[in-house]
Amino acid sequence: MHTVLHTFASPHDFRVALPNVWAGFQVNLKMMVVAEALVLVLALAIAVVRGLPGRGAGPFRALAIVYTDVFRGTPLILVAFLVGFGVPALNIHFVSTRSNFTYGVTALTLVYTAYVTEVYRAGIESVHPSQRMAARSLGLSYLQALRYVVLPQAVRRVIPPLLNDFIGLQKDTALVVVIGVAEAVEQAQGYSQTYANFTSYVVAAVFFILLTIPLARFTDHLILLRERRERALAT
Amino acid sequence: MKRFAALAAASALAIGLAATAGASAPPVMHQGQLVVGFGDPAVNFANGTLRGSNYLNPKGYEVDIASAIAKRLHLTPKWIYTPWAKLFAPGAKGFDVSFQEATITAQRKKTVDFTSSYFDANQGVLLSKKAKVPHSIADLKNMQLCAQTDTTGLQWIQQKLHPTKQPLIYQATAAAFVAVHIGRCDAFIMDTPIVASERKARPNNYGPIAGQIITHEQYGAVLQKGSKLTPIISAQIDALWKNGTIAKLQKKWFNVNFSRVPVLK
Repeated sequence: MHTVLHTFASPHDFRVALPNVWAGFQVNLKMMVVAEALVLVLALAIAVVRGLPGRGAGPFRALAIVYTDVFRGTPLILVAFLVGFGVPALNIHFVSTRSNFTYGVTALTLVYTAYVTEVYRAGIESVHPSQRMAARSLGLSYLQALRYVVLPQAVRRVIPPLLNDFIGLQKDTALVVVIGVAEAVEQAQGYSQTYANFTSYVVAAVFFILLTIPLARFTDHLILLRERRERALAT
Repeated sequence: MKRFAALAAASALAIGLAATAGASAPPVMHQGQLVVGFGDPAVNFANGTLRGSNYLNPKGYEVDIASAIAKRLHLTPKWIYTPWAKLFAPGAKGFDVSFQEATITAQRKKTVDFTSSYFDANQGVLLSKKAKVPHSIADLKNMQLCAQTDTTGLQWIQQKLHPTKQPLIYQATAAAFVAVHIGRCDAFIMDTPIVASERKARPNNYGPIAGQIITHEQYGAVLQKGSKLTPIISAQIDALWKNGTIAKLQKKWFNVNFSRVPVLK
């Protein structure tokens, strides 16, 4: 028992490893904030494209489907290698000279946009068609109906699963260590290898948990609010 | 009664035989087998195809040494892949002995056992094609360096050099080589024989080797801390030095005189 505590939760190692792991964790934080903002916008755009009506929009719908299929099905670590090592190898001006941080964010955004697109789409499809028809019969254009009638209801409904995907995204920022981004995992690894002690990994885990718990509670809160509101409407 | 006595004698004999066999057989994990670990494929050291945790047809200097040791101990060698990032973690090992160009250091000795040295090395500086050739260690300070995690090369960068830019740290040697190839990293600091052999094998991928930094490192095979096998393997390595096998193998695999690589100061 003593060895277990010493190896995973030694107070001394916790204190010594903390500043390094924190420095690394700030990189994770930056990656998640930038990626989450990009994902929110891009995924909504793709979900809307996927729902466009008419034959003319066919190719765009197909593109959106191919994109989500490909990136939802590819492991993030592969996308990270492809972007982190493949893009610089192309030797294209500007694109190939970005930092590993940028490539990490790009890989995260590519993969999570595919997930979140599906979440948005589920939300949009959950709005009853009669709503859209009613809006159109009032004289709203397709885009106006989408903007003022469908999306407000759709987005509100999918907020809990959206936040759930963001928890996944936050944790997956740790994966981009493979393309040489010195984030929390790398710092924790460096410490554990130098001092043959695993407390540094626990420190990193604590940071991740501290970040996800408030988000999880916030999600619970939103679900509760919605239930109250919908029940109130039903009576 | 007579039969019983004979049986007793026979079983006593059998126990005696087993006891003597047990005393002379080396204390390996699986009887009759020497489970040998190799790390990331390194040209001329141990290079082969990885399939899960198996190493198919590995070839190289370390493979020949391990084969020679297994033969002298009357064991059949079994090759497995042992990731570098886990090598010095304390605890039970999935191999009897692992050869992966590991420098013997006091710090690593706290968590694993090392055999006697089977190779001497310094740190080499492998440049990308785009990089400006450094003429001194001071020139290295302003370059984008890279290293593999938990290596003596990384330690040298972080503790001795203190460069202006954060070094890029990769989990696997191959990833660092790719980073140099595609120009993400100007200079990869890694053991001279590893970078020199890689550059010789794929000369079009890299710029020149800028030189070596004298660190006087010695490679030892890694065993689980406190393994009873350590003195046995060490004795075998000493014997291979004495009978000239190691000198012969170094000539066979490297045929490069590493001391001729210029020294960076």
